[in-house]
Amino acid sequence: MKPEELLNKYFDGETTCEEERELRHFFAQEKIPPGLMIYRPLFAYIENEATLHKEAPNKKKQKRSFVRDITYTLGGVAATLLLVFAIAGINRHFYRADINEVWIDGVRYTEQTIVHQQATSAFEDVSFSREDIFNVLFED
Amino acid sequence: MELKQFKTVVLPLRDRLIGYALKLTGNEDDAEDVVQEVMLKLWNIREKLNEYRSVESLAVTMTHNLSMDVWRRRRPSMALNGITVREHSDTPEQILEGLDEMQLMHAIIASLPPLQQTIIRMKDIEEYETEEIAEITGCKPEAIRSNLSRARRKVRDIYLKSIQERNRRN
Repeated sequence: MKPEELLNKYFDGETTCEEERELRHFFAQEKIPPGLMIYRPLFAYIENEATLHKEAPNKKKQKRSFVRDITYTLGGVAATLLLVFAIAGINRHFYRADINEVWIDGVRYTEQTIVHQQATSAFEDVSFSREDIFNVLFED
Repeated sequence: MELKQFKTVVLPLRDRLIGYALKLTGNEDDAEDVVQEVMLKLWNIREKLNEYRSVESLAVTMTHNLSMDVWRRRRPSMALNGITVREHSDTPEQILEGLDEMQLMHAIIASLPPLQQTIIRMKDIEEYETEEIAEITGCKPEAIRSNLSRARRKVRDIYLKSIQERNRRN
C-alpha cells in the first residue's frame, strides 16, 4: 500500500499495529516526498515514545532479576551448607556404628589384634600373681 | 489482574456504569465515552485493583467524576459578576512558543481530552490492536476507531495550525 493511502487509513483509525510500524519506518527514512514531510515529527515522536515504553519494563525486569539473583545466590549457599552439615552428621553416625575403635594414651586403634595385645598388656600390668595375693592377705 | 480476571470482575459493571453516566450526562455518546475512559483507566491500574476494597465503588466514583467533567465542559464559559471566565485551554500559538518538534507533539497530545489521550497512547505507543482495546472497554471496535480517528485528526490539525503560525511569524 502507498504511504499516502496508509496515512489516510491511519487518520481514519483503521490501521493495524503492523501498518503503523510500517509508517514509522517510512517516516524515519531520509528521503520522503516533500508533501509528506509535515507528518515526520508526529511519527518520530510516536517512535520515540514507543521505544521508551518498550525499554521501561525491561529496566524493571533487570532490577528485579538482580534482586532475585542475590536471593538465589544466598539461598543456594545456605542450602549447600545445610546439605554439607547434614551429610557430615549422617556420615559420622554410620561411621561410629560400623567401626569399633579404642583410644589408648591419645592414640586411636581399630585393629582387633593390636587392641587385644594392648588390653592384655594393660591387664598384666595391674594383675596380681597368687604369691602377691598370698603376701597381701597374710602380711603382718 | 489479567485480561481474563478483568473481564470477569470489571466488564460486568459496564451496563450499570453506562446507566449512571447517562443519568448524569443525559447523552448516550457522552455516557459511552465516559465509561470507555473509566474502563481504560481501570485497565491501566489493573495491577493495583486488588488493593481496593471494592472495584465497583471505585468504578462508580470514576464514572461520577468523569461525568461531572463532561458536564463542566459543556459550559466553556459562564458569566460571573459580569466577567466572562473561559475554560483554560492552550491555543496552538501558546503551545508553539519555545518548543522543539518533539516537545510540541508532546504538548499537543497532552492537550487532548483524557479519553483520546489514553486511546492514542494505547494504540500508537503501547501497540494494542483496536480489537484488544474494544475487548478491555467492552465496547465495539467501531467506537474505539471513531475516538482514535478523532484524536489523530485533532493532533494533525493542531500541529498544522501551529506550523502555519510559526511560518507566519517567521
